[in-house]
Amino acid sequence: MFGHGTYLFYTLIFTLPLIGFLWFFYRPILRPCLKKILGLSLLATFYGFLVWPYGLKMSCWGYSEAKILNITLFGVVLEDIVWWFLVTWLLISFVTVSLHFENRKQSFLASLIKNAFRVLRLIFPFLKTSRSQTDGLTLAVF
Amino acid sequence: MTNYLRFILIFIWTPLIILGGLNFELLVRYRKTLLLTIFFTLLFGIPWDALSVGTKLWWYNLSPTLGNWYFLGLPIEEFILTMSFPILVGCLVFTFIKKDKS
Repeated sequence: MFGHGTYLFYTLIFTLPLIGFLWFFYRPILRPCLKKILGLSLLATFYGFLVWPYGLKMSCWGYSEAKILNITLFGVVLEDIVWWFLVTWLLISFVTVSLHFENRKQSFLASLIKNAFRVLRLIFPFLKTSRSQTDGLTLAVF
Repeated sequence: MTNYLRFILIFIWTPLIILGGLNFELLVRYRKTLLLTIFFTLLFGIPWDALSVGTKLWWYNLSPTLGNWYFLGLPIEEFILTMSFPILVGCLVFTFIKKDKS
């Protein structure tokens, strides 16, 4: 569907909205850790850069040449590098926020659900529920 | 042992065991965070993977996987990797961010 940009498109579409969500709603928690999150993401990306080609060499998986950009960096597919950076950035951000909540004995899951509803209401205005309804639904999950 | 499992063992579980061993206390204390991270990784990662396999962006070799345990076109090793990856990232955070604060 997206030709040579398919891998890149999937990577961006599955990670950027979630990264945006976390950094929008939990910026006060994440902002002070920005340098560490960036440093760790780069470290993890470098590790992925070293080990991921072995997956291809060991025939664990393979890519369709028609769906990747066919740009390689020292034999590593460019999209794999982007994948490692964005996925680790997302996971490190998620773990950092979750630890913050757990330290305060608060529920990160409840906060995630509440904020997800806020986003849904923004995208689909017809889903108008009152604040108390959303809170009730969040409570019902637990 | 299949090639894919060997890959996970060498490149994911080895650093995970080392970092996990160094942060065992934190792993136990923050197990809720790890479980939540694994849950969301599966929630978004598996459909992404299944879509990629379904659209033939990538594929898994049939021979070097654990038998014929397939779900949504994905071998069991992919689920093992998807669940191990957030634990590895969690250990990284414990090692470089959390310890700094404690």
